[in-house]
Amino acid sequence: MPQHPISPPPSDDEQSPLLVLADQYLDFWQNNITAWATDPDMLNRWVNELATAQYTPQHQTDDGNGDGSHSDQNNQNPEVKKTDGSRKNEGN
Amino acid sequence: MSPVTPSHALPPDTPSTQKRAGPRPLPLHIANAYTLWMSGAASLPLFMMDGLQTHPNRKKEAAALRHELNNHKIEDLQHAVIQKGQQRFQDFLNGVDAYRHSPYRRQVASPPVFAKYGTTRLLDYGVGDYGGGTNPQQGATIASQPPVIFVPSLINPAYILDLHEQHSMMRYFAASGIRPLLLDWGAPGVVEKQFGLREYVTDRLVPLIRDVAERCGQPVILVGYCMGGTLSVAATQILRAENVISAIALLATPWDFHADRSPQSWQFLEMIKTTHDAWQQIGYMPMDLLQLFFISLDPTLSDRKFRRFGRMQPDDKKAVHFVAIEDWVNDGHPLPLKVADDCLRDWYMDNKPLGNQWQIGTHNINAASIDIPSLVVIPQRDRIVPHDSAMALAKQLPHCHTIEIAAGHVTMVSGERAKEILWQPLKQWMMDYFNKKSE
Repeated sequence: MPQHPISPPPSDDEQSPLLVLADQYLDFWQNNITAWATDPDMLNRWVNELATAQYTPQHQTDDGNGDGSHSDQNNQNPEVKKTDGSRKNEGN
Repeated sequence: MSPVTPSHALPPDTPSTQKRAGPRPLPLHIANAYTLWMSGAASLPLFMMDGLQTHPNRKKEAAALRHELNNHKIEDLQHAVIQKGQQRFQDFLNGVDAYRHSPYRRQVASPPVFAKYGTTRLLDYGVGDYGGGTNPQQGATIASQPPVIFVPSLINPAYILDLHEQHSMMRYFAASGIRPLLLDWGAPGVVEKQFGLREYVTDRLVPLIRDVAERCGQPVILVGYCMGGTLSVAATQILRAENVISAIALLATPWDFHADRSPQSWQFLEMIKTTHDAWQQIGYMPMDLLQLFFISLDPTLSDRKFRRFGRMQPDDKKAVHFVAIEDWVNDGHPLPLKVADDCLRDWYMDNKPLGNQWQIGTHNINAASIDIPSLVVIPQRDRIVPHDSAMALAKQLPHCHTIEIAAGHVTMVSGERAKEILWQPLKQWMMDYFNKKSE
């Protein structure tokens, strides 16, 4: 069993606020991924958005033939872009 | 407990593997957990900048957490998150290691074989004492009792319905004065490797039902689980005129294969289609391939459950139950290619059962024509057979009673609360049926 260079975990009452926060963040991280992966509607939407982004004709923008909106979309951080999209759906 | 093993019984089941290969496929489980925690650590800055793709239901929680995190320096936070992420990955590895080294092995007194067709056996829990000493007729045959044939899926082994002697649906029914018979499809032999769904129904299930009804002198009740239920509907339709099946219960049985279909299942089907030639060459569908689909339904489940298992005491009842279920999940035989093809084409692509277009030989399978009493049991948290897929069958069966249970696909039949949530209501349904019949 490989061992990793970490100190043994302190008990809860010994944990620094920073480590408690780190745990909260990692709990959130896992719960968020689980929420996406087990929500068929949202996952479908996400997969479709990714597919759209993936199949945007990158070569056209590269050689100057693409339209500006595709180019902008590809140049943006896709995560940030989709967070905005999710916000729109929050109230649905 | 020391069960009395009849002299004609087979020796106790031997474990399918002495050294655990699971969770299968092991490299994928490990890589998945490693990626989960290391990417979590790497994504902290993105989260702090509100750039992380957040599920709508988690946005409030994310905002509150971000507010807290912003009171600290990112470098300190990053260090703490990396430390905790490594720790979680180590906890996962420890849980997997504990599972692989668990001393538990399924060793149960195997009941006598009622009948055997090829590699398919029908195990008879109604002869001898398989009810843990609680059967008032213990040690004696209860052959006169109503026979109930349990038909599991072709994918995982039959013993999910006889997990171990202290937790067994089959032994529970044996203790209830019913004669339970478990259909164990077994590993495909030379003949079965060429089988499709039709052959499994017409050359295995149908003759076994006829055999039981004839030798017991009364019609049987069928209880189908998962795709075993779908096959049971076909057998019931085929045997409709013979009066050999008196009632049918269908547990987590898929019928509408397009209902609530997840992106994972679409993608899995696409993968199967595009890699079909490879399976054609080897002649079967490897179990590990099907495991990929199960993993994809909830990619973080493996990490969650093995970290939780790693915190249990090895001799804790819950830990033993976990190992028993996990062994079953990772057990299973390759699926004959024709069976896989039939499932893919007739069920998942063309959705033939729902539209009464599913053909088994010359028989057109139509659930609406099954006029015997039926029960459909639907686990509400089933990710393998979506709720609406099973409900479609309940809507087509003319004399159907429906029960919905707050459980998952496997926990419903063999989870720690299975006795209360499924076995008892199922037994009650049978008892009600027998009472009505005798009136």
